[in-house]
Amino acid sequence: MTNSNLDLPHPDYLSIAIRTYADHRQQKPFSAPPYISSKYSLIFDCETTTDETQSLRFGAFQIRENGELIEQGVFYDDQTLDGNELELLKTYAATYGVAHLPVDVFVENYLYKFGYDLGAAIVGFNLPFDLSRLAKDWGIARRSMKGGFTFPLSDDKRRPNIAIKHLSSRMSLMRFVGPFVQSTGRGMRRRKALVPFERGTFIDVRTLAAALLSKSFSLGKLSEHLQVEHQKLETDEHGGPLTEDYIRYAVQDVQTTWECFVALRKKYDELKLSTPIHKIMSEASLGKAYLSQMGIKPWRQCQPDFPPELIGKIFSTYYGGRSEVHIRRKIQRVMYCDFLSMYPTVCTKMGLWKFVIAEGMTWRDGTDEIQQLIDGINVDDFRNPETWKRLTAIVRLKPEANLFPVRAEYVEGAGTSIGLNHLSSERPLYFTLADCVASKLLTGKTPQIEEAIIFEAGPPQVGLQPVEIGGQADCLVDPYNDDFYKKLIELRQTIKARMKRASSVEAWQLDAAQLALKIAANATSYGIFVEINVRDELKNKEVTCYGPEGSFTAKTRKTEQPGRYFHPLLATLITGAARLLLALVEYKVKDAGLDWALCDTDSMAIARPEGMEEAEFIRKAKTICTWFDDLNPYQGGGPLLKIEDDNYSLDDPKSLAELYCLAVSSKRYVLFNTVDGKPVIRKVSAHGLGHLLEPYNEKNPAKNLAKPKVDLKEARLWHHDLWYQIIIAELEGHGAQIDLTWHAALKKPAMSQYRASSPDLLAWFKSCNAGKKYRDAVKPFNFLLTQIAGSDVLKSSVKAVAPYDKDHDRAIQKAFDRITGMKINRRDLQSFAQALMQYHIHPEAKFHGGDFVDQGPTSCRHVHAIGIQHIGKEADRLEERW
Amino acid sequence: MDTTKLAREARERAAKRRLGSDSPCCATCGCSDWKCLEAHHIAGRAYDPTTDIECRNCHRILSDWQKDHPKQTINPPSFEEGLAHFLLGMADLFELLVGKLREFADKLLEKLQPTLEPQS
Repeated sequence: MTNSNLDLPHPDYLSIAIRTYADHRQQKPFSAPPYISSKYSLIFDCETTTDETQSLRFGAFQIRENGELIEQGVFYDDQTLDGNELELLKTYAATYGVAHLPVDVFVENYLYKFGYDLGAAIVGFNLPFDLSRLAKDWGIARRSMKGGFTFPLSDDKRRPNIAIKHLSSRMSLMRFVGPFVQSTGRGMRRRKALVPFERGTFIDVRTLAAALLSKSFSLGKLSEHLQVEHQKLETDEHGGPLTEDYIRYAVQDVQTTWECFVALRKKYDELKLSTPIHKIMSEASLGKAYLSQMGIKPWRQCQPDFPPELIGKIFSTYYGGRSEVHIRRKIQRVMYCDFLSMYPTVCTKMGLWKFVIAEGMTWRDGTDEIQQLIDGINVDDFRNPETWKRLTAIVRLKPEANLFPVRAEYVEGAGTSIGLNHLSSERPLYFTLADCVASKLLTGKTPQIEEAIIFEAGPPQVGLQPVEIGGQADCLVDPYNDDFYKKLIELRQTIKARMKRASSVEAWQLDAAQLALKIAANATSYGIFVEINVRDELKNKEVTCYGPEGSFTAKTRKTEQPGRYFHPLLATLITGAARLLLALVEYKVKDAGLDWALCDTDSMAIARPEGMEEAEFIRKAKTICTWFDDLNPYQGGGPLLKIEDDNYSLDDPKSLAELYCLAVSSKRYVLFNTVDGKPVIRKVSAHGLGHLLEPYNEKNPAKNLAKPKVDLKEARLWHHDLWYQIIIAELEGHGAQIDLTWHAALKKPAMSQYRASSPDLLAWFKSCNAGKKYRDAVKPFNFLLTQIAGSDVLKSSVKAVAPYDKDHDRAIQKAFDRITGMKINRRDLQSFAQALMQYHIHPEAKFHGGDFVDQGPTSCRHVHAIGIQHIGKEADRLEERW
Repeated sequence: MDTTKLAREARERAAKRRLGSDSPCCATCGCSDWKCLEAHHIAGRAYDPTTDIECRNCHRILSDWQKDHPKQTINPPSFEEGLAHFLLGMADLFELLVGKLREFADKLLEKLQPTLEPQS
C-alpha cells in the first residue's frame, strides 16, 4: 500500500472541499422593534389526541399580572371531545371556579387580547407544538422567517398570524407577523414614520432551560432539577377518555411551567444582563449578552470594509475539531486524557481577547518572518508563551504531501468528512499557521510557504464596561485589564476549589456560579465567531462567493447570513490551535514509544503498545501529561492535559484502574474496565445511534445483561447494552459478529422520530393530507416516524415514513414511501437488529485501514487534490437528509 | 376582568410602541403621561426622520418655532441643508429647555420664599 520512494501511501485522487464565504451585505437584516415590557403573562398548555393528527382536545391557561394569578381556566375543541367529556370539563371548571371556554374564545380573549394587545409574555413548554394546535391552518412564512410556518389563529383578519421558524431541536423563532390592518395612522404613514408591528414576547421554557442550564430537559426533569413547589404529575391517560385526574394533570402542567419559568428568570436576573429574557435562546445568546453588556461592538460593525476577498482566504482555512480513530476494532489498554477548557485555553494562549475588544484588525505580509519561524520551530518552543502569540497568521502554500486537515468525500455518496492526511495540490491553498507547524512536528518535513498574512489586533474600542460574570461581585472582569477567557477559567477553578470545602447550601450556590462561568467561557470562546444562519430561499439566488482563489458567483437555494459576532479569523485560529495541541500530544506519544487509540477535539486515549509493562506505560503516559503543565496559562498552574476520572477505579477514585478502549470510527468508542473477565463500561458513545427511537428502556431492561455502573449521561441503556455486546464479541474472539438477540424489542422495526419542523418536512405527508381539514391532517410540529427499508434493493430508493402514533405497531401499518406514496409492508422494514448489524464495523473511510473488516492501526491517506469544491455550512438537519 | 382597564392598557402599549420607548417622557419638561406624548421631528419632517419625545405643549411650541426656520431651497434637500435644519431644531430644543429650567428654578425659589431670609 505504500509508495516506496517517498514512504507514502499511493495517492487518492480526490476533490477537496473548502469553506467559502458568501457576501450578503445587500441583505437587510431583520431589525427588532424596541422592547416594550408588559406586566402580564399568559401561560398555557394543550392536550392532544395521540393519533397521527395530534389535534387539540383541551388545554389549560393562566393569566398573571406582575406574577400574581388573576385568572385561570380550561379551553376545549368541541370537535374532538364528546358530550360527556365536555360536560366533565364544564363540571371541573365550575367546581374549581375557573373559566371554561371554546378554543376560539380563548384565542381571541386571552391569546390576542393579552399576548398581542397587551404584550403579555406568552409562556409555554415546547411552545411551537402548542401554538400550532391552536391554529386554523398553516402557510409558508416569508422574509426573515423564510423556511418556517405561518399560522392563522383567528378568522378575524385584524388579528395577525403567528410565524414560527424551527432553528434546532432546542429552539425556534416565534413572532406575530404584520396584521392586515394599519397600525400606523394616515398622517404618520404619509411622513413614512411607520409604527413597528407588535411582535409578541414568546418564551419557550424548554429553550430557556437549555440555554441557562446547558442541558436539554423534559418538563418533568426540569421541575425536579429546579425543585419547584408543584412538580409535574405523572399520567398514562394521554389519548384515553377524559377524566378529572387528567384535567388536573393538564392544569398542574401550566402551574409547573410557570414555576419553572420563575425559577429560571431568577437565575437569569442574577446574571445582571440587560438583554431581555425572551431573547435568550441558547448558550451563545448568553455569550453575546455578556459581550454586549461590556459594550463590545461586533467586528463586522467595527470594520465593515474589511475586504471580502481576504475573508474568503481566511474562511478557507477553517476546519472543525480533530476527531479520529487510530487503532480500530481492537481492545487497547489506554490512559484517557483531555485538555482543560480547550477553546478558552487556546484563546488565552494566543491572546485573542485583544482581537475581540479591538476596533478592527490590521494585516501585513510576513512571508519571510513566518518561513523562518517554521524552519526553526521545535516542540519545546511551545513551552514559550510568546510562540503561541505568533500564531495569528494564515499561510499559502502548495502542499507536497504535508499533513493537513483534508475535507473530502472519501467514499462516494458518504458525504464529506475531515481527516488529518497527507495532502498534495498543484493549486496553492491557505492553512492556519498552527496547522502548518503541526504538519512539521508530525512529519519532520518543513512546509515551504508562498505567502503568510499576519493579523494584529487594532486599538481597543473605547467605552467598554466591566461585567460581573454570573452576577457575582467577586467575578468582575475588566475588558481592558483582564484577559476575559483566562479570568473566567481562573475564577471557575477558584470556585470549584471552594465547593470542595463548602456546606451543601453554599456548594449549590457555588455550583450555579461555576456553571455560569463555564457557559460564559464556552459561549464566547468559539461558536459565536463562526455563527452562520442558513436561510432557505424559495428560488435560486445569485450570491458572490469568496474562496482561496478569489471570487465567483453561484446560484443557491440556501443562503448564509453571518451571525452578529461572526469573526472567521478567530474561529479558524481557535480550532487550528486546538488541532495543534492534539498534534503536540501525538508527537510526545510517539516520542515516548507509546501509541494512541483515538482523539476527539480536546481528548486523546494514549494506548499501551504490545509488550510494554503496565508500570512503564503509566509512568510514560503521566510524563506526557506533566509536560503540558508548563503550557498551563492559568494562575495557580496545575495539569493542562488532565487524566480523566474514567481512568480511576470505581471503588477507589484515587487509584488508577486498567482502562480499555474499543474504538470503531470517529466518535464511536467505548471505555471500560474488566472485572472477572466481564466488561464494566465507563463511557459509551451514542454517536450514530441518537437518531433511533429507543427499542426499550430501564422499565423493561434486557434480562441477562449487567446494568450500567456509571451515569451514562447523554447515552441510553440500549446504547450501553449494544456496546457491551460489541466488547463481549471482541473478548470472545469474534469481533465482527455480535449477538443482536439480547432483547426481544430488537426484532421490532427500527424507527426514528422527528418533528415536522419545516414545510419541506411536512410536504412528505402531502398525499396523506390531501383534501383534509387542518384539524384532521398531519400538522406542523407533529411527530413523524421514519423507517429504513429492509432489502438492499429497496434501501437505496425507498424513503419509508409514517405519521406518528403512540402505538408504534399501528404506526408501522401506515408506513409509506414518501417519494412514490406507495404503502410499505412491515416485512420490508429493517428491524433494530438489522439496522445495528454493521454499527460495530462502521468504516473510518478517511484513513487507510478503516474499511469494514479492517482491524488494528489506521494510517493517513495521501490525498492528491484534483479539484476544489467550494462549500457552505454543512447541513446538520439529519431529518432533512432522510 | 376590568375591560376598561385592559383597553386603556392596550392603548398605552400602542402609544409606547409608536413612541419607540418602554418608559417615554417629554425631553423638555419631563412629563411622563403617555396620553400627552408625541414624536417630534427635530429638523422638521422634510429634512430628517430623527425624532425625540415631547409632550403636546412642548411639541406645539417647537413646531411653531420651526415655522420661522428658512424655507426649503431644493427638493429633496441636500445633506448640508438637512444638517443645518437639524442644528436649528436642536437649538430650539435647547432654547425651550433653558426656558423650562429657568421656570423650574423660579418656581422652586418662589416656593421657598417664605423660608428665605431677605439678603441685606
